[in-house]
Amino acid sequence: MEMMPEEPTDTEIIRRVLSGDKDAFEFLLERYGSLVFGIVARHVPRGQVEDVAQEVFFRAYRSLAAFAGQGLFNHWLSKIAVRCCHDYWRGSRSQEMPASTLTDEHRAWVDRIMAVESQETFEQETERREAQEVLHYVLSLLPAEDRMVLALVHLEGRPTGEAADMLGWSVVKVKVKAHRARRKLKELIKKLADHR
Amino acid sequence: MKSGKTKTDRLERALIAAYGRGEKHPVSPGWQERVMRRIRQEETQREQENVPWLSPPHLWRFAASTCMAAAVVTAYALISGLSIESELANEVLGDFSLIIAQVLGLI
Repeated sequence: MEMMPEEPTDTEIIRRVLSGDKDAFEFLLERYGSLVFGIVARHVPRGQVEDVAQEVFFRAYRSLAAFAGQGLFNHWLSKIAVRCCHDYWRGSRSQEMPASTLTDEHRAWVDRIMAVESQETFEQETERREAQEVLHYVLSLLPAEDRMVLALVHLEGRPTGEAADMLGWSVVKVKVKAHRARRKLKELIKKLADHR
Repeated sequence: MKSGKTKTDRLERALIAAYGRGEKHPVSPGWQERVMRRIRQEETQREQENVPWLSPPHLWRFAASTCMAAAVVTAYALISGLSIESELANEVLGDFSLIIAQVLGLI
C-alpha cells in the first residue's frame, strides 16, 4: 500500500512562511479558503465575497508574525474575517441599497410569511430567494457595528463573549450594541410589516 | 385573529431562518492564484522599499550621532566664548561683498 505524504501542520507552514518561503502560504489558502468564504459570504453581498476573502488572507499574511502560534490558527483567521467584514460595511455605507429596492415580489413574500399557518409552509417560504433579499435589505439599513453584532449574536446565536473576541470589543459593548441593534431590527421589521 | 406583534415576530423568525439558510459560496477557481500574486507583489515591493541605510536601527544611530555632534559643538562654543551667530554673519557677509565686488569689476 502506498503511503500518503503527511500534511504539514499549521505551525510548520507558518514557520516556513516566516522564514521566507512565502509559497508555503498557499497551503493555508487551500486549507482555510472554505472557512473564510463561509464566514464572509454570510456578512457581505455575494459580489464582494471574493474581494473581502482575499483581504482576509492578505491581512493574515501581513500579521502572521503576530500570531506566533498562540491558540488555533482557524480561530485567529475567523477573527480577521469578521473584522474585514466589519471594515467592509464601515467603508461602504454610501453604497447601501436604497429603500425603494423592495419589489412587489418581496412585499408579496412579507404578506405570505405573515399570513402563513403551518410550520411546513413557513419553512418553505424561508427557503425562497425573496427571504434572503428581504433580509439583506433590512440589514443594509443598519449601521456597520449594529449589523455585525446583530449577525453574530442574534442571527448566528454566538455567545456575547465569543462575539466580543471576534470583533475585538468588550463584552459590555457587545451586550449594549446587541440589545440596541435588536431593537432597531424589530422597528425595521415592524415598518416593513406596516408599510408593505 | 393573530395580533400584529405575533406577525412581526414571525417575520423576524423567518428572516433569522433565512440567514441560516444562506447560500454557500464556493472558492472560485483562480482565486487562490490571485491572492498569491498579491502577496508576491507585496513582498517584492517591500524588498525594494527596504533600503538598508534607511532602516530604523541605522536611522536611530544616525540621529544619535547627530545629536552628539551638536552637543559637542555647543559645548565648544560656550567654553571658547565664541559667538556663533556673529562668526557666521561675518563669513556670509564677507563672501557676499567679495562677490559683488567681482561682479562690478572692482577686483
